[in-house]
Amino acid sequence: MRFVGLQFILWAVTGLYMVCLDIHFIHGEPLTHPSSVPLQLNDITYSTSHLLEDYPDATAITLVTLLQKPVYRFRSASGQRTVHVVDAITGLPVDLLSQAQARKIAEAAYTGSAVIEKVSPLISRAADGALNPLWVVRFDDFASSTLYIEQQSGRIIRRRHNYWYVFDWMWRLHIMDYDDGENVTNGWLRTVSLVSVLAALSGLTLLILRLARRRRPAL
Amino acid sequence: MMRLLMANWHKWLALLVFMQLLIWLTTGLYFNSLMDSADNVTTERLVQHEGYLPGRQLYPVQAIAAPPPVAISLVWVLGSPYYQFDYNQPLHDYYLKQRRLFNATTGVPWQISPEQIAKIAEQAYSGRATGSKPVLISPPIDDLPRQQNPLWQVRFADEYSTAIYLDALTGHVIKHTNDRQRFDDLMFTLHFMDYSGSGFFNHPLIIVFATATCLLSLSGGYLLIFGSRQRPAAQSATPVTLTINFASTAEPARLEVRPTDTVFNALSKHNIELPSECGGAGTCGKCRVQCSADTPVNDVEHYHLSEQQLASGIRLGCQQLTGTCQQLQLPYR
Repeated sequence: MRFVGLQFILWAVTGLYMVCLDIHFIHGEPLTHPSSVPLQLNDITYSTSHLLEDYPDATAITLVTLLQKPVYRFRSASGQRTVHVVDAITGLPVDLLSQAQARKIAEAAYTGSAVIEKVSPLISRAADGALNPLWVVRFDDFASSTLYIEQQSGRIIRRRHNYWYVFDWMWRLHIMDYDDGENVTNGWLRTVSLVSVLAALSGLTLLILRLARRRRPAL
Repeated sequence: MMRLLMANWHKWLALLVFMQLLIWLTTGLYFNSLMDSADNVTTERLVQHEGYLPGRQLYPVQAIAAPPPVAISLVWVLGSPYYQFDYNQPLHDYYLKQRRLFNATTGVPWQISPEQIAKIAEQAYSGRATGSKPVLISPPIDDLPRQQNPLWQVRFADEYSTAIYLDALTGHVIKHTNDRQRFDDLMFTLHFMDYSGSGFFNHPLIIVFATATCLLSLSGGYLLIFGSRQRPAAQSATPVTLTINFASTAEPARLEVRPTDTVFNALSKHNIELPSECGGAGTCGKCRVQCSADTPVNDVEHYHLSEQQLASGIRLGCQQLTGTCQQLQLPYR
């Protein structure tokens, strides 16, 4: 018990943090409200049929509103990762998002009342090595809420705040994986869990033995 | 008397959470060592819905008789294109979706048939069993506790009772599950104490237990550090004789003991076990012995014994040194 006692405390404290804070809140879901603006269908002059003539290998085609304009978002069957955006009025490809546009998108989606503290560029690297340019919009609120917006598609792909970072560390301490928190099957955790199970079972055995023991009348 | 307070709490908290603590430890060990979700469902097969678009004339979206949606996607079902009108954009697929489907070539509303669902399910399954007749079921769905949308269910009477769940509108496969997967799900239910089937771990029951466990482990840590009442062992001290009179027999016992030992430990060495729950740590107050009335009293004894008991010479065996209490009385040996 002396060997695993500290980890027992860590499991209990980190577990308590994780069950107390709503997981949707931790994921930053309440930071933005989903778009509910109906599409301006009558503005569309560049039809889906046109789109398919120009981009025959387009797949996962979606028509959405981006900065008050209808646009097509799609991927090409050959390069699955990259999201293409084409204006549904002019039929022209939409440029990468400017800093000012990212600011507008973030302000429209943000549910809080704080102002933007900083908008900075970031090139994120996916697991397969593909580069994805983003705008990182940080709000000046108590939790340093931050939205990550894809420059290519204008989508908000990540929502972060300080509680998330704390949660992430709680999770790492809980599963005893201190580098990236992705390996639940690590040997440390295995050893300590095994010893803990034995410690708990020995405790239970001691309890049963004591309850079963003949009692000496007390004075 | 912080230590006694802690010990008391520790005991009752342990009684409250010990079963769940064992469940947390064993299911945690299961997730770490035995679970391999990737290996659970081996009968899953990818369904190719997508057909060839170029050259097809699609119906213009603005001509469709429906209120304008928030987004329109082109979806494929068994090789044919459809427009999916989304009236909301939930952050999770399991949230309630408001959608309508239209044939993308003709623009008329479209409804998938049970026959088409059966066909997709058959393509999505690589095992030998045949699928049951598709049933459209409404949430709550036992296999998918978070799901808020109705889904088609197709069951396969194979070794692992496979079930495939498909989207109510598009027939796309949402989830492939079987008994091996259900066992893993059960482990999560136990670990998260999710007995109401919410699919999440933020509920009052687990918050209460987690709080109790936090207090239990912290009080345990405190007792581990400050709890042991080890007295300095003086090997050189001359042994003293402890005389014990028993109410049950006329024969008193005389024991050679070290004066620095507690009465509790000294008796224990001679196989006389005083009643105790804490093993001489001073937290249970059960190891009462009858000493002479002028034997000194300490804080722990004040906590556990009444003034009347103290006045009549009752003390705790774990708090008295044999050096100061050399005559005592017990009910029987």
